[in-house]
Amino acid sequence: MSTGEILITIGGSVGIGLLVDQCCGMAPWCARKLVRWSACHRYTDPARADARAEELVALINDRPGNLLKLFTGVAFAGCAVLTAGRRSLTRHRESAHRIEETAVATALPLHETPCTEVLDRIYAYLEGELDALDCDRIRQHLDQCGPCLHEYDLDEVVKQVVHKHSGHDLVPRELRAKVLIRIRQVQAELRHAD
Amino acid sequence: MASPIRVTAPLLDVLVAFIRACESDTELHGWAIMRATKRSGPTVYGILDRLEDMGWITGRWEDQNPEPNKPRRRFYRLTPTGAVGAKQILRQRRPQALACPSPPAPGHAVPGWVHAPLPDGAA
Repeated sequence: MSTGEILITIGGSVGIGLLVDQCCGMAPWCARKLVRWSACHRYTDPARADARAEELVALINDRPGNLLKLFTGVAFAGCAVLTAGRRSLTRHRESAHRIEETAVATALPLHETPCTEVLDRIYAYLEGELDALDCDRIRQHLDQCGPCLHEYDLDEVVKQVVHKHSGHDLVPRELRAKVLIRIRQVQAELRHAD
Repeated sequence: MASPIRVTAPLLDVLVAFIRACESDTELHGWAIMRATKRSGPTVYGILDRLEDMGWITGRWEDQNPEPNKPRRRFYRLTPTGAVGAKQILRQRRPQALACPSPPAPGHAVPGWVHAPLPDGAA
């Protein structure tokens, strides 16, 4: 082995050692961040989330081994993601069932396409990702079904979609000029009326 | 009195740890429960949530961690309701845990020959 190879080997070993040491040093910090994050997402009650966050930071402190601390943090975060996902799914299902019940209670005709299916696919519909037949079915349902529109606050959804698609477009110069002229006209008319 | 929705093996492990702590009049913090039960953090805390919601355990913050500049810990113990409920469940599902309240201390283990059957005619 030449001197160069020996130096590269030694340098590489030291470099890897330093890198591993640095990563291990950061592991407890990452673990603390992860458990705080997971407490916030796992619990719906803010007071309980705060208390658990503080408690889990102490748990990470007690747990020996830097990498083991990190694994524990990752496990808590994974569990929080699952819990939050399950909660969101349950809420979505409950919302769909409530709409069906409202439809029955208010003697609205039950539709050919169930509310649950419409709510599942409404974003795809708004994004124009459905084929013509599906679009027709959902449009027909929304025309008939007030609760669906109300529940999903469709006005808000439409605003979001418009904003998403055109939020960064610049206003055309002519339009801007016309609006400013019209504002001045109205101001002048108001002043004249006074 | 509320009862646990699901009686699972981790729940039984945690209850055993609490009963032993109760017998020695000590309190347990999260890491101590994880160590005693050999269960993961999320599993243990999921069970603590359930037990707390049912009013079976109660927690308190320590004033200050004995180690300087370390975060304070939260200690748990069984409530009287919890102690009754836990013993009831363990009696049905894990009677050996109640029969042997605490593992023999190291160095004081009873040698195997004490429990060995006596040879015929020796009794």
